[in-house]
Amino acid sequence: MRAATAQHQDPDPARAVREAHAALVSELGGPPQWLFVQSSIHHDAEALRQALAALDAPALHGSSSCLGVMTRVGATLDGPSLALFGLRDPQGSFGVGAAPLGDEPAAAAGLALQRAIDAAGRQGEVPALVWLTAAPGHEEACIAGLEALLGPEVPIVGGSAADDAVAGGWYQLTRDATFTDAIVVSALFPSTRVVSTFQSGYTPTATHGRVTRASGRVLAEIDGRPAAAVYNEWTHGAIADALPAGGGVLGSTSLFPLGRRVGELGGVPYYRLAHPAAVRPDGAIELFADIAEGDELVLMRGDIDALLSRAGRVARDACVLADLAPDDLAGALVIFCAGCMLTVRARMDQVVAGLEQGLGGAPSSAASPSASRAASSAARTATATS
Amino acid sequence: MVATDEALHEALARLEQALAVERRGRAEAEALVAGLHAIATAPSLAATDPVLLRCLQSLLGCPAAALLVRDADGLLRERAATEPRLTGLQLSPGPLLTRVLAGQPAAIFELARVPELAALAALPGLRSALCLGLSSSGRTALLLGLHPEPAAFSPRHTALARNFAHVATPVLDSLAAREHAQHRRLAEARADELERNNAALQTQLDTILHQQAQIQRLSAPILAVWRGVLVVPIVGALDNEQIGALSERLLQALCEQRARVAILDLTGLDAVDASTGHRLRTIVGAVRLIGARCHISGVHPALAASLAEHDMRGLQSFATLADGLAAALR
Repeated sequence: MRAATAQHQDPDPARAVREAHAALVSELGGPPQWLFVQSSIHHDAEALRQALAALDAPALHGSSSCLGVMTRVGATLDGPSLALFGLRDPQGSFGVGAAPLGDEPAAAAGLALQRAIDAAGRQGEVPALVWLTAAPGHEEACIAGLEALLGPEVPIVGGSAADDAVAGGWYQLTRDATFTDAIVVSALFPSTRVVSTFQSGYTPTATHGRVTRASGRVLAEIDGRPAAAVYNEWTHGAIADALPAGGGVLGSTSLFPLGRRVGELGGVPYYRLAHPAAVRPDGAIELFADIAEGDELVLMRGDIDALLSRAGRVARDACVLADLAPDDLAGALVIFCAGCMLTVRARMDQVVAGLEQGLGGAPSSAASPSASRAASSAARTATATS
Repeated sequence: MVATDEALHEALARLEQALAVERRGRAEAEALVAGLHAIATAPSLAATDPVLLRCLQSLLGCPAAALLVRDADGLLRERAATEPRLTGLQLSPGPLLTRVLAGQPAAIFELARVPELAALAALPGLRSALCLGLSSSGRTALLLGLHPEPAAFSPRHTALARNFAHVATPVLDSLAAREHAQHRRLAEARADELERNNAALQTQLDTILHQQAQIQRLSAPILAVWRGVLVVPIVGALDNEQIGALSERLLQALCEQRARVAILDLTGLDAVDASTGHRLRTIVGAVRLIGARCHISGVHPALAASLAEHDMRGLQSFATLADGLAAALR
């Protein structure tokens, strides 16, 4: 197996795709069997798809990402950009499937997965890795739909398609269609090993409360009071600007997600995270994960240094876990939380350097999806290995 | 402080993960070792089939398993199974099983989705499978771990199955080689024994042939009782082979000794059948052809009846040898 990445900043999607693909094919020594595409929302989805469909890439999986893209050569977060990640593995099989999320996102996820497996020519077989991209809002249901088909042990890695301001500008694409509210799934049957790891980061504080009113992803009250007001007190004014009339708070809350205790590791509790996305005029908070009345919430806290080094640490963990030498690595796919990226945007070069160090120079491509995933579902770092 | 706490959590998570991996790896390694021990100590290669199935069940935690072997016609036929419902199972390899038999194990989350496995899917209570190829000791086998629940097998099981095949194959090959060597040793020992027996039989046969020749000579000795007169007392029975030999010896003696009369004394001839007369006629005719005369003596009633059925013209017969000798000397 060989892996390679390429990125391009040309505003013309056709030219950007053509030139990035040429570089990719040159590095791979031939066309990829699986092509993953990330793009800033500056590129029109359908124009991008048409340019990609003209390539020799039968298994094509893509989505928009927050602000831009990141590969080993760096992060491009201003203006139009796209990145390609290609796998060339003639002994492997790869398939892509998609389905509109509709009213039953779990069923849609299952359908997309079946289509992906069938497209890979591996009907009924368990893939080594499931890679997904979905419109934000139904991550838990999507994961549940995939697990219902394959069981709990198959690695499911990916993230939500994103835009720059959680304003519905995201898209997903395959070779055949573009979507704004769908799930796209790749079933990967590589000829080599795949390992994945995940770290959510953050540490608990002593500040906590109970959810007294909530519905879906809307947290209305904590301890009987409007959630936004409580959260603002907990964070000493992190969302003060949004309290009067509401508004997006993703960037200002990235270092203070809410956590729910879900277990212990070595006697130390660990937490499932829910990042605040927006404040509603009625004082409720929209989260990037489902919440339920009665949940015990803990204010979590992170810091910039931890955010900057986290991706590199996770990449290194993947290598250690799999007992991989740097030469064994073909490449890596990395999901980096959009909220975290917005918080450390000016210092993303340090994140890239950390990844480069953690992966020993293997090709890597990163997406910056919306920050909302339940910790159970969420972004696990996939490391493809040779 | 925050970074330190986060690092602590990550370190704990790594430790927990490493512990879990180690526990699982240890359990899997123990199951592998136990399985290999069971295979290696099986009484024969044929006895390893059920052992392989037990190992697979233990490793994968699956309630049912089957072993199919590829026959000359390419079909995979059941050779061993843990449950009666799997007996007689046949599968025709397509793309999936061809890949599996070439060394790529596959986990099947739903049997009904795989056309090649329709025969399995048709069996009640089976939903998912782990397919593993095992080529060793000259045969290509398919091992199936089977489960009543869908999606019971994951990439972890696939990796485990690959490891199992990796370590079991040389053990099976070694067992086959040992068994082959043992068969060869047994075959060689048997061949030596047969060779010894053959040599003994040949010796016995030679002895018998020698004795037979002696008996032949003794049963019809050619005696020169007078100048120009030979007497052949015939004792016992006369078969075609003996008559041929006697005829040859008699003619040779007549020529060498320039004898003019040969007397066949039949006093000791104890077995007379319908062809005896014909046989004697053959000798008499041969003697006449070299210009000598042939008399017979000691003819008893049963022989007389047999001789009467043949043309005995010109043949002189006497009741006793003395009468025959007297006639020859006149």
